Amino acid sequence: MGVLTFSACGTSKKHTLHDVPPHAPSVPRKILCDGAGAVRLIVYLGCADRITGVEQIEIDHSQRVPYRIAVPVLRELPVTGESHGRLNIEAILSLKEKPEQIFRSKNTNSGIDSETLQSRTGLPVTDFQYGDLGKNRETLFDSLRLLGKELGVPERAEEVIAFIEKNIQEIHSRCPNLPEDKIPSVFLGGLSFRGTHGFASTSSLYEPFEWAKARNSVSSENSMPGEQMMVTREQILAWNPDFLFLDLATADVQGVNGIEELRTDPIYRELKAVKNGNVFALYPNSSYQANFEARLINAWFIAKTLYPKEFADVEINSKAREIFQFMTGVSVLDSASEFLREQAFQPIQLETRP
Amino acid sequence: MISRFLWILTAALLLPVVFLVCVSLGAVEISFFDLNHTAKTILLHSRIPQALTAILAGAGLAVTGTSMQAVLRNPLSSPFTLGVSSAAAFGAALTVICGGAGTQSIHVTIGAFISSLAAVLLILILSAKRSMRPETIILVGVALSAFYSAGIMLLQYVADEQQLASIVYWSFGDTQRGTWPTIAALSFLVPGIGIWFMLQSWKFNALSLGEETALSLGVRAKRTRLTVMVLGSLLTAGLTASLGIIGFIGLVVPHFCRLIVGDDYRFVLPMSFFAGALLLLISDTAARMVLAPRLMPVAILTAFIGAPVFLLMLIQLANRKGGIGE
Amino acid sequence: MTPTLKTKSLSPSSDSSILNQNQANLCVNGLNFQYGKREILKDISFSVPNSAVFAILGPNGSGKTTLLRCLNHLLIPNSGNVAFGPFDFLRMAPEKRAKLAAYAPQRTAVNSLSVFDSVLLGRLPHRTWFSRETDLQKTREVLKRLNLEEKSNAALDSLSGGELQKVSLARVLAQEPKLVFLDEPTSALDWKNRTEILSLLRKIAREDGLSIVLTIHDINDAIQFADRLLLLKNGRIIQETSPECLTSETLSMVYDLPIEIHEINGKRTALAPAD
Repeated sequence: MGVLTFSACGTSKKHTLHDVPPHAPSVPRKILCDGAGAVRLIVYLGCADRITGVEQIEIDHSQRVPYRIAVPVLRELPVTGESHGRLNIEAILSLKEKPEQIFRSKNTNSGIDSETLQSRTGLPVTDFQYGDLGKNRETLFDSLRLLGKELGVPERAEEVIAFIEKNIQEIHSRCPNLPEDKIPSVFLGGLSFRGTHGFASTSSLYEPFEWAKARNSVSSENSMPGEQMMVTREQILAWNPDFLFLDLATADVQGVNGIEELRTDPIYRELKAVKNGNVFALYPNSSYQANFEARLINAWFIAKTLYPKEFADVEINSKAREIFQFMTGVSVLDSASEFLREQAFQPIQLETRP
Repeated sequence: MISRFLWILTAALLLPVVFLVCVSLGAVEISFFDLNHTAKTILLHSRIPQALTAILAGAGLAVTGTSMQAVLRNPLSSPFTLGVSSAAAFGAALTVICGGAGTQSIHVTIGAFISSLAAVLLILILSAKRSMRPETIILVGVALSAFYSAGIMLLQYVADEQQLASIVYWSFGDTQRGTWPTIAALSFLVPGIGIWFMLQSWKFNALSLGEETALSLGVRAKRTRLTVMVLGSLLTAGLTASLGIIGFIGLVVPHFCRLIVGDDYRFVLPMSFFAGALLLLISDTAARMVLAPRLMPVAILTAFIGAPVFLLMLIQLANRKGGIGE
Repeated sequence: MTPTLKTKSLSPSSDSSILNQNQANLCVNGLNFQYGKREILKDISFSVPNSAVFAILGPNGSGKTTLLRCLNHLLIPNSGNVAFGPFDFLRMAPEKRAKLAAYAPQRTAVNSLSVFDSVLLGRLPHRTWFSRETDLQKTREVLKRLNLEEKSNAALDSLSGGELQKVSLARVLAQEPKLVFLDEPTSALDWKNRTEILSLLRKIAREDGLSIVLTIHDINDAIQFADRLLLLKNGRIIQETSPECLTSETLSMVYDLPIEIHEINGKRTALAPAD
């Protein structure tokens, strides 16, 4: 029996924990995060300084993931677990700065379950669903609200939610409503998911395409929608999208990467987007769950690329700065890796003409 | 006698026909009568290499599996009996972690191959010391597999998300990885080694009557066994290192062929060659189409189909002989 | 009439066709076999005449099968040698040895090979990858001689025990050997089959001039059908003799059982007392 708060589709229950001292603060000053995306949301809410321990996966020097770039101190924190819920109880109990509450993102269910975690550590555990910016946007917002409430920053949570909605709304309304046959077809390649993959890694549910009123080549024919899937190269050629957007995550790793593939694979070179130079680089969309701020900026960039007239006044780098600054508190692009700084939101140079 | 020839002939003749059919199927509509540049690119750089790889890999694995089952006198033997699959996966995993490479890199292929050579070397060393009875060889393979699997577990644990995904994805055998140089090499190795196996048909037949009978017929059982295991494992190592692990073909096709053409290896071997090629070719095409537009590595399909098919065959065998005999 | 052992001439430079059938026979000298520390065979020496059936007798564990396996190089003796004419039998290349000597184990594995094909396998030492007419011819002859013609196309796994033994024998004969080693060729057979096979063996030995060495359980079968008997006990030769000269005392000593040889209807018969 313990204090177990969880948020599923907006409902929340609270039970009393017997062992927590009655005078325990209701707003924790020291916390622990666990699970894909948990730290990110905490960063959005401006409470990253309360974190006293991190999972191994957060210790990352790649200068790629916005929230990690924004909070470099994460790298110095003691390690309390692997990733995806696999926590080391002893490590938690031996932390010098004892956390008062644990927040777990429950999208992935590996590792220890929250009841056990709570009873073994004696700490209140709060589960939440991560959600996304597409079909599960309400879940995301509910989780933000829940976290905001638990952490004593409900106004900040509302600010973040409003900011996200405003951006999506603005992009969507500024994109023209084109007749069916004039809607540009697009394709997202090189999406990362639990590791990076080649160019043929894509998604049928990529929300920025929806906000930008573009036709995602993948969703129209798909019988099995998925957040990430590998398609055959031939299929991409069959779709022959007008615009290709490459997630830079695929080019950030040794070995064959998406840009190389576009350059060298004869099948990709047949794509009209490649021949016409309509290949553009996006900031990595995911890393241990979706980078929402990156997706917002990517959406602006996609919209501007597709409809230059309607978005002539938008300067992408300032927009990026504005969004990164608001969400994470830091101008991420200035501290990101050189590769990302140079390539993000640019057309990709492919020597296609012999 | 005649009917056995017919089966083999049919399989051989079906192969080019099925090849043409498979190559014409895919996401893009291709008409052979009107080949524009796009169609040619797709055929040349996607469908044909993949189909050829499937044919060569299928034939190679099937014929190796048959030969190993012959010399080890064990119906559960497969090209991976010596532990080649675990060894290759370990080598690939190690290369990925050390080199941070993706699944398509040549380094991973080399790493996987070198690691599988260890299995072959070990058998050669051991055989110099003691007489290699079939049971010993099988047990060595089991031990090696276990050892490499442990190594893989460790590597998977220390790998980060990126590497882990690469490692796991590598192991799903995928004919898409067959490049033209690979195909060139395989088109020498597979028929070459395949023909060599077929030339041993009489020895395999003799061995099927028992070790002692074979020896007394003048068959150098130990040498034959060793050579088959080494050659077969080398071929398997090459295939696995380039394409990943494709299971069940080497195990199931020999049994399937024996059901059709009997136990005489003069017929089982060529039948396995063509049947293996056909089976992997068809599976590969099916794998391309079944979850379209998503791609599915062929190894997943062969695993899914292989297991129940194998069970069905065993049941039929048991009914036929009133018990699964030798 | 033991010819001198020419055990030093090793590799056979000529092939078995120049062997004069009347001169060459199998000579075993000083054979020893140990399994780890255990001595299985000790100082075995004898020679096997041509055109004869040579039976090795003895109780279980006397080393009969081990001896047979040593003779055919299925086991490698620790010391001693085996010569066939001028050839060092044990050091010959397996392919050459198979042209001289054939072996049938007690049971062979069965599968769905046809009778014809499995007898054809006996031609392996003499053939190339393709079957020549001689190979097919010899196979047919041998099948006819053993009355197996009707079963030519039957699968091995459809045959009875007796038929399987005949097939093994057919394969052995198809090998055209000078020496034949048979391990308990009759122990799994009923009386009719036993008699049939043993008299066939004796006939073939005489007609083809072969030396047939076999291990056998049944003393009376040995007395009736063999030309020479080798009695083993605990890995040592107790006696090598003919069925006529075999005595009750020797038999009793070998088998640790009071056995008596009686003459019944003109035939020597060994009887163990029913106690």
